[in-house]
Amino acid sequence: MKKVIFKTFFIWEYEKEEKWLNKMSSKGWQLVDARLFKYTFERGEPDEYIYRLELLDKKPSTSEGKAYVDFLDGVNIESVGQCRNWIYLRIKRSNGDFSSEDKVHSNLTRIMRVDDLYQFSRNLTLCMVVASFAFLLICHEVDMQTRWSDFLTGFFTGIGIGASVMSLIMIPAMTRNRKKIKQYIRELSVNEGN
Amino acid sequence: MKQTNVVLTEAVFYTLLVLHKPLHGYGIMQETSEMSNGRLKLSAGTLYGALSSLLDKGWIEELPIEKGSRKKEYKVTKLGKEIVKLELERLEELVDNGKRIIN
Repeated sequence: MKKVIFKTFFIWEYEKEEKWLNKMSSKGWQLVDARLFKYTFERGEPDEYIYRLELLDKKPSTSEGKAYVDFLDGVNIESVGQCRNWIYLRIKRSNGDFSSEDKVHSNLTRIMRVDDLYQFSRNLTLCMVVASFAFLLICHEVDMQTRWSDFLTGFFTGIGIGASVMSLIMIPAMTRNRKKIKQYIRELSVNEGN
Repeated sequence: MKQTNVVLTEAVFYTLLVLHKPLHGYGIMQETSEMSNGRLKLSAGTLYGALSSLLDKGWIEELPIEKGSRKKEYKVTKLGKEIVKLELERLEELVDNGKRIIN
């Protein structure tokens, strides 16, 4: 028996997404395919698998990505789906769990990546604000009011508003993430050498 | 590269040790755990990182994949064996000094 669910998670909501997948698993619905917004489950035993999302440096379709997925397969970690640089992994509960060390490492990668995105949109906001102001000023100075200048002002402002909305939405998540980064780095330094 | 001052992590040291016979990824995890009486459990991420860097350094090598098998096997190289020997000497010095002071 199969079940398809359409659901949206923002990129920084990976923990929520992971929790949801594991909750589905505890109800006996095992994820077998994941794409953008689309999750396919198959009926199985409750808690048969443990799920985990991992963010790769390279796309899973590249040779490096493939080599990693193959390696995981060799250590009984199955990849059931991928979406951009994320892979959806599962491990049979009877084969153990993802190790805590793996969790720390991959949490750190994920958090840093999302942080990059936040910084990008924040910087974009600033650039666009500066650009549209500068543009307005120049147009005003040289008294140039054409269809093009209107378009460009609108264009810069549009991107600026988009990026600022994005940054604003992300602020609460980012504040939490910054705290987590510090905590994970502390944990890593304790476990160093293993 | 000067190889005399290399300090290996536990994961790397055990990986080089168990790879004195050819093993695939899961085999390395199992052997390591067995050899350390279940104390050292290599995580997938750690092992992957260790294997990649050991291949880069030429301390281990990939064996040609056998027909009908998808799993890659690895084995320590001559250089890798040298490194383990040097590390063992360093560890012995560590242990000797430790014992001398503590006892």
